[in-house]
Amino acid sequence: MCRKNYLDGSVPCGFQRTLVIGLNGRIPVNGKEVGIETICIEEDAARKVKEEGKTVYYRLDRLGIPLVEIVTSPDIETPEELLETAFRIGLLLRSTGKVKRGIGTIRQDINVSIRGGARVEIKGVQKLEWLPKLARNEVIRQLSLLKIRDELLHRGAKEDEYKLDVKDVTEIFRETRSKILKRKGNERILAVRLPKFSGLLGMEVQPGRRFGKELADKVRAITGIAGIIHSDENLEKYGVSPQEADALRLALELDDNDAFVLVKAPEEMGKKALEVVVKRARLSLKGVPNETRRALENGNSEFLRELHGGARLYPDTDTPPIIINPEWKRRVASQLPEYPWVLKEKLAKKYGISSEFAEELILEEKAEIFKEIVESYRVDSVLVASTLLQTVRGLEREGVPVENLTREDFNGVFKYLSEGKIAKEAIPQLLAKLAEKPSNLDDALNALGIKPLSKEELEEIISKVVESNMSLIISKGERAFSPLMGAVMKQVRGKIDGKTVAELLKAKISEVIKHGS
Amino acid sequence: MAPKDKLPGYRGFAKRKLEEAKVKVWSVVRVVNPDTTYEGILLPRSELGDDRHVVLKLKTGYNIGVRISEETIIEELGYSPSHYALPERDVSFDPKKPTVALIGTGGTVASRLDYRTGAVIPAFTPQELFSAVPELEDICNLKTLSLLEIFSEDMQPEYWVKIAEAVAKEINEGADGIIVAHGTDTMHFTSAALSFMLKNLSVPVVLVGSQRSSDRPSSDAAINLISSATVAARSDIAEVVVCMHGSSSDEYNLIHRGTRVRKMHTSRRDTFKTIGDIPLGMVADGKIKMFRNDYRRRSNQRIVTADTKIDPKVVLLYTYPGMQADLIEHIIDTGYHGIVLAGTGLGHCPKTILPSLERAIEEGIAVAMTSQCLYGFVGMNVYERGRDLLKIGVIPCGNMLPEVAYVKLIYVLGHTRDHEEVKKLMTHSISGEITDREPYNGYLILQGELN
Repeated sequence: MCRKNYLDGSVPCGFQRTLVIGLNGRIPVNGKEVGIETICIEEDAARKVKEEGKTVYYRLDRLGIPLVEIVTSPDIETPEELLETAFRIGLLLRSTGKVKRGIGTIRQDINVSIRGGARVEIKGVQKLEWLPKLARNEVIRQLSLLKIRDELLHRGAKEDEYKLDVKDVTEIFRETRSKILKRKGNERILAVRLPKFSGLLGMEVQPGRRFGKELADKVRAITGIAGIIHSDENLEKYGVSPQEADALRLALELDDNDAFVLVKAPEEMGKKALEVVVKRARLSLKGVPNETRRALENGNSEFLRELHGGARLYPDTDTPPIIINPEWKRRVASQLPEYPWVLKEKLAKKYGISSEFAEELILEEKAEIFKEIVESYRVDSVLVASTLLQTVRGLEREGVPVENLTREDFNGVFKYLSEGKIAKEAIPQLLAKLAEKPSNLDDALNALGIKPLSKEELEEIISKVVESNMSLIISKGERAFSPLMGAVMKQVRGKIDGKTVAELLKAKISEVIKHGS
Repeated sequence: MAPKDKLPGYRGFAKRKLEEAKVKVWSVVRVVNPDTTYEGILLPRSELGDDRHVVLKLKTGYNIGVRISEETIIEELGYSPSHYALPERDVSFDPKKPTVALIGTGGTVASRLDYRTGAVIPAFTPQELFSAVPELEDICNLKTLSLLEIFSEDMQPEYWVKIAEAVAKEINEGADGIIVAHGTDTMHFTSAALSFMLKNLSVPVVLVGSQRSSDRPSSDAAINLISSATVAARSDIAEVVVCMHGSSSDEYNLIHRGTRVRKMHTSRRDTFKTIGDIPLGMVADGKIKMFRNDYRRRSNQRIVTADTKIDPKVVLLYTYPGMQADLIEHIIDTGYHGIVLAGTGLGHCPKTILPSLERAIEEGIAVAMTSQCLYGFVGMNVYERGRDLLKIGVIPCGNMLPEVAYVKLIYVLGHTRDHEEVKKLMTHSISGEITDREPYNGYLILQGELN
């Protein structure tokens, strides 16, 4: 057992316990094998709810919940392959029936590195669909950062030019009309020169996201200061007068190639913020810094913290070694379910359903109940699959509490169907009723007024419909079937199978035609 | 000295395999099993481990145990020794700063982790401590002395004597304050013992420990050390005190009188509480704030003596429903000289042991009564059982804590076994162990929303 230090406050004791349970695995993805480097059991950290300045609020409902961390090898080559791999792993996990479901229960962290770039980790990807875009936008970001590096080198920038030489420019803005530069309490306005950065702060690094924002994010993450102002922004928009801008350029001794960054904060905090800015600017000469970033919904990401290495792992002194008995390992291995991609093909083939249905059954953890129903009753397997999947989803959309439906409920419905006690048309309304938890299936049927129709009763209804439509049959012959079928079904829908109705009605019509009346 | 063990923690089969492969701890090794191969740094094992596994630190930083068998092949790929020492910080003596002597009794005072190997590097010398806890440098000159190497649960009355003598010596040689680094389990026993033994104290003697080892981020070690150094170097107290966290956060440390303090929680960082009284004061952000005036003040005198005459033949007994006399009989027959009872309520015990207690006293054994309630005074004139006990000669100990009474009786019996003398000494406060009254805010137990 190891400890991984978490000093951001999300784990109150300061470390997360983590235990390697698997190494050197692999998963087949589109004809190739993606390596699974490690699988660990860990305890989850607390979830950040909000930040107010330097105060962070966490909710503890997730703290200490066991989670499995699955790390793939750097074998994934395209954003699409990334999605497919994540999907496959998710499918595999779901197929065990042992993992929690719901938003946030499976989270992806992706690591992106490109040639000449660096490994950058993006955390907190809650939706699979975000993955390709996040990966693609990270590639764009790294390429942009490399471009900025090349431009800086081209301009002859040197690392030692980026020194923390903070100028207090509060005086310049003493009479300012700029709202965001209005000071409160002990706030000062501090500025720093970024040599040869002119134009680069305004360069887009991701769609709609400029390099200046990268700096601002990092300042906010580290110091809690909400924003910075830089020279590639439209300063007039902030209410900074041309005179103020000139005075500022003069005070900072700016060349045409240079940029500046301003902050408004209490002195110590402001200095800290500009230190972050200068350090980040210096790092630009190296290209892409190793960082951990937070996924944003639009496919971009923002700075979270510097990337941790394996170096923060150390042994947990509270737990004695856990010895894994080889016999136990063998027993577990023998009880593992089939791989879902094998199971998918088998389900589709054996039960004659589409492989899409088979996959959905596995994803929604309904494969077991599907098999049980199909093997127990003489029912149409496609009907069972579509009921379990589409019908239930449809009811859910209508606000039916489908989570109340149990395995017994589904079994009962298909048992009655196979015994002819209900028609397949009655399934949706019956399930909706069952979701309200009546005492049993018969009560649900009574409540719905569904009484199974006997063949004799059906024949009687058909005879009546035929008798009152004699003229139609005489004039239209067999083509009278359609309207008459509609009339009969109106009376018997849900009480008996439509196929039976059609057979009997057809027979009755041809009998009338043959014998006259 | 014996040659250093190259495979610490390994034994039996595992040790043999590793020796055959000519590898040692911190070797970078490849372990080839029939099904898988692993590479990593060979780590030391805990002494309690089995002999069928070796422990590796993988490149990813994770530690794993790898099962080995006869077929396992182990190869050395390199060697990556742990730097089992802190970078020492050379700090020159500053005559303007007070000098504090830190006496170690065992365990790590502070430490730092070597993340690469996962090893906990202990810090003890002044250079190491200044390196691990740089704030100390601003507070005082530091002198360290490793007196004992024991767990606090293995503390013995004889060791109290050693510590008291060492403290007296350091003060007389000029220390401006003393820190005794001590495991928390029995810290309050030692603080009581030092309180009784040290006479003419002229500087603070501060006991300190940590509830969370310094290998974890929640450790209280550094702040406790900084706070106790502040008290030792700068406070005007000339008493034995315990200085530990006052709340579960790192807000402040409390300064507890050595004879009124008790460990009250197995794991909380604010485990030490002053019982039936309020603490002497607190330390926060390097500032000391005293809560009261009735403490002995610092002076320039250097005439401290350690009065270390003791008689450890004393037992401390809880009384409880179902308690039987044979226990007492056994104590009498095995030659003990004193019994401290932690009685129920106002100082009671079951009548089953009354005749044996009477016999004990007749045979010259001092029997003292405290209360297992911890808070409040024994009141042995209130109920019949109390009066019976007083009549047979049981000594009522006021609101002295049971552990303190145990330590005090050891100290007192080292000086006299005369019943009247013992009674006089046990019923009068020597070092604040019995107070005149319990203040209205001296009884504090967190319960629900209330304080």
